[in-house]
Amino acid sequence: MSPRVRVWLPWAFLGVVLAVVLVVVVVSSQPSNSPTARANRLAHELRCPTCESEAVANSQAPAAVAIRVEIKRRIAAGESDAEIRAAVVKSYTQYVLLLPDGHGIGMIVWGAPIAVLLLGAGGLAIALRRWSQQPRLAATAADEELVARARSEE
Amino acid sequence: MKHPARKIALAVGALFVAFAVLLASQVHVSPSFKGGRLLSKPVPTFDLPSLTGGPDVRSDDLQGKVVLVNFWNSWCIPCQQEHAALSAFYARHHADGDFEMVGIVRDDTASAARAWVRAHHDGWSFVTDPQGQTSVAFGTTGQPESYMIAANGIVVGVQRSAVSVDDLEKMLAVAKSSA
Repeated sequence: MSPRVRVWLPWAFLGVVLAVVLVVVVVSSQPSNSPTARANRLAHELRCPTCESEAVANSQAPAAVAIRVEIKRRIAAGESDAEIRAAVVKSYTQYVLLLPDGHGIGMIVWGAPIAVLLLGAGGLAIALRRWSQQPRLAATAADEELVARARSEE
Repeated sequence: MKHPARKIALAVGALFVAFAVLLASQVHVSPSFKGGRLLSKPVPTFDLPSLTGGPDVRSDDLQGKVVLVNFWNSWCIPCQQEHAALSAFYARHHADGDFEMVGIVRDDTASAARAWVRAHHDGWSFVTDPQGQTSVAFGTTGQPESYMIAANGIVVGVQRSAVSVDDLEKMLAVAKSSA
């Protein structure tokens, strides 16, 4: 095995392991698309319009109950999650969304952590590269002489 | 660039601080629903069964008329308080020909609502909304809520509290002027 292969083999192995883990995580975290699961998921994404920051799923307020019934009715009618979300937003405005959408302040809420993460990763990469380019510590002639003198005195 | 990593770290720090300030500024802001989007929009379509045994009430059949839609129920105190105003307003305008009033029961049993209507001899149409579909379509958050709909099907007035005759007359004037 050439030294080059010996250096890259562990990294390649690590890459394969990471790829496998990623695939397993993505596949196992695929949400269920059963009507009940969809209704439950949507009810957790929508805010009860008459409650204090409570999801439609967790409230017994008449408006929340009516929205839950409406979600189930629309799912039975074959509407997509996006269509159902849009229908409730049409009645109750963007306020009803517990998860911010990708517009206005929602864009900042979603975008800022990603920007921070990317900038942080970039900074780390640059710092690591700079550190790797710095010469490693090596004994100077004076150091060698000092050690030799110390040994001769033992 | 002499110290790119330091500049990136500063940028990350600045973004982090800005984000923290943004979130901190929202801590005491309690989200509240300020009302739906129905004002100046087409009225949602509905087809609801009569509370008192008459024919179903369909929004399509009301096209070309000014319609007052009132969400109410028998147990809510503000609904009971506004009842006199609704009765007076209906007595004044029910003979107009181009005017209809529809009371939609919200969050109540049909029997209790029916008993209320019979006890008060109200003459306008009353319907139930069994699944709450129409109440969600209107974006209601409670009762009473009143919606004045112009003859062209556009909602020209919304009130999310008990109405007075004056409130209703003002909304009616807007409805008639916008037709």
